[in-house]
Amino acid sequence: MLEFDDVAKRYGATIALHGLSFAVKPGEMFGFVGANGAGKTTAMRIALGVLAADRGEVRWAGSPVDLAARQRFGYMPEERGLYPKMRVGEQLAYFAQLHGLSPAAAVRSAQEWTERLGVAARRDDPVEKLSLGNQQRVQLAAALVYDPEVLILDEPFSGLDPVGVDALAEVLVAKCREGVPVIFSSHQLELVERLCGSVGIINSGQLVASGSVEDLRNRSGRRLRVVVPDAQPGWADSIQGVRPISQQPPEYIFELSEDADDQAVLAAAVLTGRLEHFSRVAPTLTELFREAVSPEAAPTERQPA
Amino acid sequence: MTMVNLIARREITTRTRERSFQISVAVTLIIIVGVIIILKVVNGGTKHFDVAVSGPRSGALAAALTHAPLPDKTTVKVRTYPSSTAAAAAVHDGKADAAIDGGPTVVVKSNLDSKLQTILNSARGSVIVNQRLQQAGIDPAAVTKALNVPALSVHKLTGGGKNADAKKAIAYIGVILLYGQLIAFGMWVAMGVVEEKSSRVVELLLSTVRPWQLLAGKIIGVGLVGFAQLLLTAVVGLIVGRATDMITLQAGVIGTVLDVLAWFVLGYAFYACAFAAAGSLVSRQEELQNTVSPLSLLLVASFVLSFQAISNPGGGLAKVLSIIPPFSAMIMPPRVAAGDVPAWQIAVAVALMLVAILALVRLSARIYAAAVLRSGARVRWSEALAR
Repeated sequence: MLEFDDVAKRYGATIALHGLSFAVKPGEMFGFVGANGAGKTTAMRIALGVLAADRGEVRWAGSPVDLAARQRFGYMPEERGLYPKMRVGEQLAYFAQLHGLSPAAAVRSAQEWTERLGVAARRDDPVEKLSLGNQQRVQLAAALVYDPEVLILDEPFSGLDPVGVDALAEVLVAKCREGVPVIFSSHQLELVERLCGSVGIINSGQLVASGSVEDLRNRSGRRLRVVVPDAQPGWADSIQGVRPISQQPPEYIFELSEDADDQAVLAAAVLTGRLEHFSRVAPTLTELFREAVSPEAAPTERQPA
Repeated sequence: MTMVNLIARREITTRTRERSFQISVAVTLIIIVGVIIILKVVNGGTKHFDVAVSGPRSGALAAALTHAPLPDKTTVKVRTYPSSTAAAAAVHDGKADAAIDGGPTVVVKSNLDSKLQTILNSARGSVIVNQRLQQAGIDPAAVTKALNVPALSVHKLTGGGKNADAKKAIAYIGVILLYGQLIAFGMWVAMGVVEEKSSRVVELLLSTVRPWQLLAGKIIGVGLVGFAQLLLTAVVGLIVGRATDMITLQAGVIGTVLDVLAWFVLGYAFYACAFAAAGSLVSRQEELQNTVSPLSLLLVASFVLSFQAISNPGGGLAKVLSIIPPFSAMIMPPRVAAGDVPAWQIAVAVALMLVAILALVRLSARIYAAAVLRSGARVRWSEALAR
């Protein structure tokens, strides 16, 4: 299990992480979502030892992560980084050796991964000669070439074409099946929803929601979608426990609290005139995310430094 | 150590594969060989003169020219012609360099070599003096014997003995090579650091290696390439110098070469650490000049001062600077080559240099570790040293 335990970090006056805690089980894919500057990259860099935490620790298999453990971590930094003038195959073999593979095994693994990610034909070219999409594939290969025990990928899907996205998703799912915990961050929430068993939503350096997408949905309460073309704005305002999430006439979406009565909403809708649509809806991850990071939902105010 | 080894090996393969490096090796070798050959042509080669003699004194002139003591690396061949016209014709046809008939003029095609002029003057002079002595009834042989006083032999109180000139020449070449090599490979280390920073590959590297391992591997790898290049230059230079008779391979000369190589190692260790720290402060190659310029300036100053040390190896300035690091790296080798340096001074210079290197290794590892992951604006020295 990969655990973040109360990890905090500040840069001068700015607090980047407030005390982040979550865990990813072996074989679990964890989607890390949050606005730009929310602290995702900082958290990942701390896990990789590229940054030092001010407080708290990251543990792998029960013990604090040290350099030896990180040798077995696959990492794709947010800012892509490879030697531009070094050949693809040699570069991958070099990274494999830095992570403990023998020279022969490193060369073999570099071949295997270039084939698997569709850049085998470019093995003898310097990285800078490749298209950005292919550089991204090489970057991913650099994180996978030594068969890591943990995968931490910062925005791995950004910049990939749909074919690349599918190829990467397939590789990540396969890694998960091998029992590797996978953490990745992304702004493509549909993708996160499709791939991840669990998600963590981070806002201003704090985890504001985490768990399976299903849990988050259940936690957010029942939702109703009502289409009433003749209704006047505010037609449902007087019903107890009903909060409008989206009002774009003729479509209204409401969130109902535990004790609210959906039948009361139906009755009010019928009274407005024509009722075209009335149904329970499940919130998408995008909606959950918007709610979680909206200012009124933030559990605590950002502390002034 | 495996990490350092891997990193150093990558540096060696990447560097030696670079086109610019291969060209610079070739250019250095061409310059070294070219300089030796030019020196050989300008003042090295044996000069040969053909002299045409004629007239009543031709026999005496020929004898005087053949038996006269000649300057080094000069040979003279004499041919007798029946008339001064025939002798002049031989000069005109290029068969002879000069024609004399015992009279007050010498016939040449366009100009007279100064060495040959001296030879001809003294030969004609001796013939005429002999004639006048005989006319005066004095035995020329007795006069010659009386005039024969050997030249002064030189006893040097200080200075490099027999091979002093060769050693001095090697000191010059050595200083130029040392300067070029230190500045080029120091810059390479700095540029390598910036390359890793600007391409952001350093983040990937530092998730699996420690900063000091990355720094050490880079410095060792680039340094080995620099040392190998210097060694190659020295060996080729010595071989060509030997083949052209410009250098005699004696202990002193080889010692000077080894001295230069040893000081390259010390100087490189010092400057490479400093250049690496300077490189780690910036994120783009364009900004590198700002942080390395104090180091380049230090090298240029050492370079200029080292020439002063060659011309006046016993001077106070040379003595002091040859002991103080990092000046010692470029001033001690020419001082050793050009003159006698007491062993204790060399020992002190090496010891001080080692202390300076140790201190700088620690300092630059600290600056490097603090600054290498900070991208964007240039990191100030004070920020990198804080904490």
